[in-house]
Amino acid sequence: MKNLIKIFKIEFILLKLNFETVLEYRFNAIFSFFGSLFYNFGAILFLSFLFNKINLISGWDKWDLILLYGVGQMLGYLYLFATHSNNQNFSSYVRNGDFDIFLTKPVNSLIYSTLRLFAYEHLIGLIQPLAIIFYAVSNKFYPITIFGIFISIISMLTSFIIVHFLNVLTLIPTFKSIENEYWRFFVETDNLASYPYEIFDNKFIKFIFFTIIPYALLVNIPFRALIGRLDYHLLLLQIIVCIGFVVTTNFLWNLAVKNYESASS
Amino acid sequence: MKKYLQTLKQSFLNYFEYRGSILSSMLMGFLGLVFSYFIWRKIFLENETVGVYNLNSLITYYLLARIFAGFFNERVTRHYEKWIKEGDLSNILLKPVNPNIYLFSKELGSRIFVTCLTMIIFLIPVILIRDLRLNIILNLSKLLWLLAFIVLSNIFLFLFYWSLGCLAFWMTTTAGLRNVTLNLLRILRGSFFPLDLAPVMLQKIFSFLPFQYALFYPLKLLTENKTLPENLKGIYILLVFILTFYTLSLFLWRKGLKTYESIGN
Repeated sequence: MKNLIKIFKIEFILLKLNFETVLEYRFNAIFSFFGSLFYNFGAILFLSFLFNKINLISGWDKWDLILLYGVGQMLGYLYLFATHSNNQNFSSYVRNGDFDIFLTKPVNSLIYSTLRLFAYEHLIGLIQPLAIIFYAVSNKFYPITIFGIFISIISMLTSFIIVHFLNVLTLIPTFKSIENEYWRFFVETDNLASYPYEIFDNKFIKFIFFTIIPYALLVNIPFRALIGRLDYHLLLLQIIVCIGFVVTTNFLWNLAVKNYESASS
Repeated sequence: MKKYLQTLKQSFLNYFEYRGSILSSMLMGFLGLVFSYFIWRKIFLENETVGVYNLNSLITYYLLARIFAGFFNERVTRHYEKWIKEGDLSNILLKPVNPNIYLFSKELGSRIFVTCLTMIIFLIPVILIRDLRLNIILNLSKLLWLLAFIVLSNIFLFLFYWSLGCLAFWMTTTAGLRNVTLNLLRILRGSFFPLDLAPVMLQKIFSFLPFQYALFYPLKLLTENKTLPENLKGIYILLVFILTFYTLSLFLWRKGLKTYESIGN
């Protein structure tokens, strides 16, 4: 418990320091906002053009897919805010020997080294997925309740933990082969999470995407909780998968750190 | 000329040093494409065609799009920013080279390396899967047109990113601006979605912009039969924009050099 409080205190200080940096580069933050605006615009255009040619995807219509995409982008922006910049810098910590600093501190090295840079411009960007969600719900009626929103938020945070630890798993090979970009795994494949999980119709594929690479759970569970169509067994599965990811990643991280040989003097 | 060719060769060879990082990055990109297969497979199970596409032609499109994505990109802008912000420009200005042709050669070397490697990774499925291969129609005249589009669109893209890079003379960082262009060009070039899925009106607008000739059009040239007037229109548009952006870049470069101040050694 003491360790957990310590981690929270350090993370709070890091959040504050990073906020001061974004104020210095505020014009850049505005451009970043517009950059992701074009990305979201492209995605909505694509869905609109697609649904001009087809009616449904696995029983879901255009507005369902747009709402699902909006919820997916909430997770995406949380990832960009807290995880992405850290991923990009991780190999340089190992290559330059800077990783030693994290090991000398009396804090969990996994958390301290992978949750230290926060890109606030993406936190501001959260307005965009909220606008997309609003756009979808203003075009189609969904029975949204306070309880549904609450469960959706809980599920979203669980998804974020899964995503972060999944990313840490892709960083672990850096201890062995410094030069790699496996961390791009989530960036390149996360698109799949923003589609209805019914697209996984084969037993083996279902097993993979519900447990090993749990993309079927990341966005679908908070989305379905929000619109009151959640299968609570799957929420439970999401929590179990999250615990599984935390335990496995911690185990592999500790193993990798034990074998880590510093590059510095 | 010799010195620029040497720069190109050196840059190409330098990339072998980062092969691990580039290869892993491309593998992640390839995995992204494999993952998106699940979405499209489901869509085409429920619908025979989407616009003019079937499953094979769409997968071929996205596979080939990855190869064309290896063209000049926002890295050019980042190079200029680095030169200007870190003062490297002072050293380059002292050398008996034209800084812009030097950067063009340097980037060309890296782009050739990346494109060759991407071709190896992304063409394997096109070669191995017979149905995918059937979508590509090749003959000498097409190859010559393709070559013309590749050369001209790359010159245009370099000039476009050069003009953006010049803005670093006046801006703190171009990171946000790069993000805007990256996402905007994803839509306009057709790497987000095939442009012929868009309504006819939008397709007409896209056809008067130079961006689609740097991905969508050459890709269509490979898989469809294009008429001579269509090809000539593309070449003409590219030439007009090359001239426009050359004038603009040169103007910004000269204006920027006057304001440039370097500190240090």
